[in-house]
Amino acid sequence: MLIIYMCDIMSSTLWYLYEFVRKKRIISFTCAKTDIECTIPPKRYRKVPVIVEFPKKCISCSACKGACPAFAIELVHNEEYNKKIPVIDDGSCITCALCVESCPTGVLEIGSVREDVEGKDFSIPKYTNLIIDEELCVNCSLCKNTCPVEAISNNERTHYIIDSKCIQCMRCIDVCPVIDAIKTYDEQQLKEKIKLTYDLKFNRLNKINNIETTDNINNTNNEEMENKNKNTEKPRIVKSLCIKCYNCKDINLEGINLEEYCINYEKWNRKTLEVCPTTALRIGEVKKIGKIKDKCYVVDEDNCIGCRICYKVCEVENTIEISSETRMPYINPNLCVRCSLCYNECPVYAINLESTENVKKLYEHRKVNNEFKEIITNDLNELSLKYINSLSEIKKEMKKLNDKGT
Amino acid sequence: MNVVPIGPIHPILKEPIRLKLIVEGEQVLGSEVEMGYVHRGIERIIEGKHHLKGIHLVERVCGICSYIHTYTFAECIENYSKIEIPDKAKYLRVITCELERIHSHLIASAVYNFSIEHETLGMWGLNAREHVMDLLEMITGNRVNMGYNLVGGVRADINKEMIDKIHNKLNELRDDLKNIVAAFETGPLIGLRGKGIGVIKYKGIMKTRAVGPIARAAALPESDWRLRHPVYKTFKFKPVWFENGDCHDRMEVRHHEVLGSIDLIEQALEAYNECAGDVRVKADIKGGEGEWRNEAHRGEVTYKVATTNNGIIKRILVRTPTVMNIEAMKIMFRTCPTISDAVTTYTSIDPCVSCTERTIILKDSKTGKTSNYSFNLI
Repeated sequence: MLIIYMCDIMSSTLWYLYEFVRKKRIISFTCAKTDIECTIPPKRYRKVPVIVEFPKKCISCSACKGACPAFAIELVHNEEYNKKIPVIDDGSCITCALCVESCPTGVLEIGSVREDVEGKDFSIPKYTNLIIDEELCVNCSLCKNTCPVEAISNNERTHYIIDSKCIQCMRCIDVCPVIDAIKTYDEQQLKEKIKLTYDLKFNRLNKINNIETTDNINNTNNEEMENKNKNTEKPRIVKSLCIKCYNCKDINLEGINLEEYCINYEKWNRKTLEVCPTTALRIGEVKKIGKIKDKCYVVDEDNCIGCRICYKVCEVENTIEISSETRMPYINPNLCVRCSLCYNECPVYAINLESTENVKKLYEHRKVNNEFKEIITNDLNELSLKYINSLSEIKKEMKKLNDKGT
Repeated sequence: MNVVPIGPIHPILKEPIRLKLIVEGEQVLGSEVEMGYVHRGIERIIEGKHHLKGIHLVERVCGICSYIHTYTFAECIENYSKIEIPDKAKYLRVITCELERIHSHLIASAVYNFSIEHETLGMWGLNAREHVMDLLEMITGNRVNMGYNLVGGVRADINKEMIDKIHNKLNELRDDLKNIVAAFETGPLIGLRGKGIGVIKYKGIMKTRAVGPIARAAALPESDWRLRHPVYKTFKFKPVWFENGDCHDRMEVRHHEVLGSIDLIEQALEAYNECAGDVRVKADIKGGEGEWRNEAHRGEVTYKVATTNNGIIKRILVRTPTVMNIEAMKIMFRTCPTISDAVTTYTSIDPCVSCTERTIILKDSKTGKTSNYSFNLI
């Protein structure tokens, strides 16, 4: 029995030895290699994180920073290139490649995304959105000229930002001569406004707080009613500012018609003013106020040829008036926003930039001159009328006397 | 009566959920499900963000079926703002979506096979799945969170080499799958663990509104939303359905659907070859709101989105299929003779817990009333 068993073991071990010690197997075992294909990632594979491939091309516009949904990018000053360059946090990057697509100069790269998507349509995501107020815009084209990606266009009345191209570099805001003409709204602001809308819509403010607040709300309602009586001015919707978020309509369904941008004043609710994220709902007039205060444009009367191009071009009301004495335009420094439209349009370089104090003196002098002239002409008119009337009366009476005499 | 608690942290669970099984001996009499361990509030985070940032957040709603969420989100916005996407993008979306369906179903089948202690079949399934993941990586650039979809099309085109590679890999996969399906259908122990266990029939489905493979295993082929999708309508496609509504049939539906998906991909590739042009158009989004449904790998997924004029998301509502399927699981537990069968029933519905945790129930502290967090109400 034992012998048979031993033989069995012997034969099987021999078989195994024979099987495994073949030349082929030994070669394949000793020269084992993995396929090279396994170790090389495919061309399109997006490996964390994004690489800053061409830092020389960077224009520090912060488009990548605004596009990142994971807040992984920061712009840090680099001494080698002497400008701000994006620095990517490896731990936060999610390989979405939005920064690569939104970069206007092609600085960043991940996988082969930059090559794959070159020249394709893309609407750039942003953290901060910009919007131009048509009531404040003076149509000066300064923003249009500075925009690095040609995202600003204009029509006869106003300029507007093409949202899919804008990269939130904020250069237009720095350049714009009018305070608050380009408005911004970011994600956080929008979120708060949306939350406020839903709180108001479902009366959640009353529910969460206690009964005391409901009394307060009644009081405020009364105050609002009083305010309403005081403010007889009617609200309006600014078309260019409206982003159709329907926040106002959520609160006040019957009062507002966003398709035709009109308001039903009888059913309008005052709370809609708080909810609008871009202040498109408005009461009262807005004033155009210039950023630059120390200098102002002035018309040089020696060079002026009286063509009145500046008068036609100026978008700020009553800023350029024409004096009745010299028939030449003069600029009001209190209203002027220093948009340089008249300066650029003047065919004979008759408009110069000077310090505001001198300009104000000149303006007052010209204005007083103009007023005096007007007063004198008016008086002369009246006097001449009176003179003619009295002359005709005298003539009539003379005739009567003559008739009687005859 | 005793209660056997499973979870929230337990070796059989891939994601945290708490199951309380009410048992008498080994017999399962009833159950309770507790959720809320991985609620992330994605809908609230998305509010106020640009739609392109939103699509990357939406992708992270689910770990396995990430693509179908971006697909539905993009189609929802395209539908109400009337964006016509190019034909190439339509077919590329179908190809990616079906590839993802294959990998999702294969992982579901592998998890089920592991839970019935048949590890060989499970490993076979996972082995076949790996090739599909490679294809996804080749097409989109990443394996799970692909970032391939955009509103208005897809990000990148595919070339001829890729098409050849897809054809080759799919042919290999078909052979592998036929082997797996034959082993699954004929294996006696597999049948013993699955047939007649965790049964749900027409009545139970109508009561719980279960969707996807669960409804199709109970003789309800109309529950496939691909039948109503405009692109899928152009393909030759028949939904898979079985009669018994038990664990075994649910896995059978998944296996046969993988074969159907391979056919769909080949049809889509054929249609793709006849198209020309770009894969993306400019998304000009108008303010408004809309709704869209799609067939995810586990059933019907619903998206309701409201945006402003330049594509900033104001409000979003997501309903995932496992919400209904977990409810159906309570009925299935009644036909489980042992606790280990309850575990297989749980894995057979292919639950995705982090997907499911979308709903918020609000409780009024004053009156004690509860109400669901919905699109229009609070």
